[in-house]
Amino acid sequence: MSMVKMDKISILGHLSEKDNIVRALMDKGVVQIEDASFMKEELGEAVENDVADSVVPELDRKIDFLDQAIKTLKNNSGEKAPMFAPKRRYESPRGRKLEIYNIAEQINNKSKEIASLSSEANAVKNTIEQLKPWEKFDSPLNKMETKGTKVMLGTFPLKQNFSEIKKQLEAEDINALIEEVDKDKQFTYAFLVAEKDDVEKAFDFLKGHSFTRISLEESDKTPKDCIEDCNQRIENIEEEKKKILDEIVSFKDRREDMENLVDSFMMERDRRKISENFLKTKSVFYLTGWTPAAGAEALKEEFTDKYQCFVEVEEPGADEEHPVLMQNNKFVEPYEMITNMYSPPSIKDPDFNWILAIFFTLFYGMMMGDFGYGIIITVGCAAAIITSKFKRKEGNLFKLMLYCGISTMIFGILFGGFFGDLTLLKRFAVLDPINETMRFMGISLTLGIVHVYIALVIQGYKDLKNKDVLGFIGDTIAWIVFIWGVVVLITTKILHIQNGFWAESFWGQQMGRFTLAIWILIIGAILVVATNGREKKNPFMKFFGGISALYGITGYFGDVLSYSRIMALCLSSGIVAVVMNQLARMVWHGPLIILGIVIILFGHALNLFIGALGAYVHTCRLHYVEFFGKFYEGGGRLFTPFKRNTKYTDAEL
Amino acid sequence: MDAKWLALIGAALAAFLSGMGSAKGCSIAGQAAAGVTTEDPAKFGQTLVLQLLPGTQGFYGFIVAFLILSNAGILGTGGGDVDLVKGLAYLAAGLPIGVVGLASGIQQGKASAASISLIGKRPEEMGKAIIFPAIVETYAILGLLVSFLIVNGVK
Repeated sequence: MSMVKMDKISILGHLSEKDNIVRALMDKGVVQIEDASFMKEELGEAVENDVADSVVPELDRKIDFLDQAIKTLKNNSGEKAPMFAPKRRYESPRGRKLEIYNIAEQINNKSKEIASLSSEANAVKNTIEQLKPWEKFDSPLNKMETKGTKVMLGTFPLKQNFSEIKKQLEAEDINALIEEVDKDKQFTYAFLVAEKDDVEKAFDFLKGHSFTRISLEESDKTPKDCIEDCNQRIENIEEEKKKILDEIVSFKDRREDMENLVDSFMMERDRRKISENFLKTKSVFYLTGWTPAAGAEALKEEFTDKYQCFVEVEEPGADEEHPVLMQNNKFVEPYEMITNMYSPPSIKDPDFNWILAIFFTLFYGMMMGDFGYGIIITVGCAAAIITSKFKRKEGNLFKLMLYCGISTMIFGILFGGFFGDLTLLKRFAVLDPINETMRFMGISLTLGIVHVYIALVIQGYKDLKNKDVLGFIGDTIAWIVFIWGVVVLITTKILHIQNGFWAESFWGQQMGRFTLAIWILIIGAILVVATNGREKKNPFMKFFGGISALYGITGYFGDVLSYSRIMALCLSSGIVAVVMNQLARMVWHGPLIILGIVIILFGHALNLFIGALGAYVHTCRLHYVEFFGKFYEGGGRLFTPFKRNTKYTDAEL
Repeated sequence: MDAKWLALIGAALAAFLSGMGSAKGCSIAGQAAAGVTTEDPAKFGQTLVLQLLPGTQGFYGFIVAFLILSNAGILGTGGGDVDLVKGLAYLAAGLPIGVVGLASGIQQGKASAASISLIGKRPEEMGKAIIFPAIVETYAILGLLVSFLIVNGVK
């Protein structure tokens, strides 16, 4: 359980060996390669930055292209990938790359065809929409004039009185007439027949009545026949699309090949790209990076033996920034995720993840506090873990929730909670959250004080590691004593609690607890005043710095009160569960039992979801704000070695 | 004097105020979710979860309403007479989850909508996206708790 010691590794090799060395580094996967250009000035003019291979963009394009084909296959083949399944082993597509790529090309061409067919179908549908109102106009669309007359199509807004316009037109001195074809919610569709000489006049007249001319595509058929043609065309298109889709689906056995090819290209791309971090001269290249100290010497020997290169391993300087790698046992490891979500630890932070693991599990269990829900969480996560065959550092959320589920079961027993108020476990209960709310609150706040104390101790540990004894007294001892005094004073004098953990936390019972509390308080306050202004130079400033630090107690007060959320979340999810059971009991007779079952299933599922989410969020919050705030620096970089990174398959050696 | 009507008002306030909050919140989040789903229908599941988050206030309001009704003897057979003091207590019990549910439902809806657009751009950050609206939820939980403590405290 600790931070892994890192060593700086530098390799100077002949250019002809570059590919081999890079490949070996990738296969090993233990070196994080860093940008070496900061060394350039030191090394003189003959040295220049190396660049990524020019094939990199081409490889990126190919990867996208293959991904697209795989996606098309996945969407259309109807195969459902199981939700939790381990990644397939990688099989090298060596020698078949061109052939496999060719398949992706075929698939993508076919999906292009489908896309163009779809857009054609849309165009045809638009035409149908246009023709629809003219369905009753039973003349071919290219016979719109005779020797002496001309026909014109157009619309009137519905609010224009068509028969009125028609009459008016007849009354005018124009050889023309209009006739209605159809009506819909917006327009009256009509045609105008006029003698050729009078067409313009008639049109002008109608324009005055909001007539809008419509021109349809020429055709030797009537609108009705045109629509029928269009429908036929759409049917054909659909058939064609289906045929092409079937052709695409027929490639579904080749999906794994394409996935292998993507991963092969990805690894190749990474190998080609990494050299942009290197330096080079005409004959040698230089790379630098970090590797766990434990394997560094072995790595050095192996590389110097096998390749034409010179390897140097050195320890980092005292404050030299480097990537961090944590090493923890199987229980603690998933909890690194919680810390990293906030911010990865800096090189100055100790690895406290085991403490976080204990309290995270504890708080989560208390916030859920229900045996039934605990079983569901535990079994669900266990099932996911078993079917997915997670390796280490994978599926952290499921592993973490597995432990939290077990904790939930334990606190379910302690709180007598089993799907709310089912009485199965009541006799084992040591605390009844709903009826002993104040006691529960006291326990929550006490845990809060303990949690805050531990955070202060970690800060003290950091101070001691830096040989800052005054800091250790000021940051840790002084505050622990001062907070202790304040807590005892509050519990005994303000809340009048004469027994219990805090009130009895003194050995001098005969002396009167109050007096002792006051003394503790005063000693604590003196320590705080004496040490918390230590950064100031001027003695007066030191004193005032210390005095104003006392005000910090309000912050701790708020921090501790914040832990009451443990009680609040446990109670609220308990209440909802109880009410669900009550609702179900109301209908629990006769055929209505079915309704009761639905209420129970739905209600508890919803409550479990909200409760589990709430407990997770609030446990995180307690750590991020109340716990981390006391000591954590963060802002580090996680160790991300150069290794075989793949998308679809498992290619680790 | 029988003051069951006060309990009824309390239950009604708890249910309808928080219900309004959730309805508004879900609607805000739903509009954002529909927008993101238009771009990428595969995000339906993720955005749906986020849209559902502001729905819990109405649910809590319903719980409190139910507790008031059953404790006041309006629903079921339990409960004794409700005098004026008890009636006022039940009325008061409806207010925390009612008012906080109304406000926090709407505000959580806005946080959800923002998280949904986060999902639109970075679907891999679901874990973080869900945390932002869940923090607004805290106050609804506290409202539920106080409402419950009041109902429980009526003797």
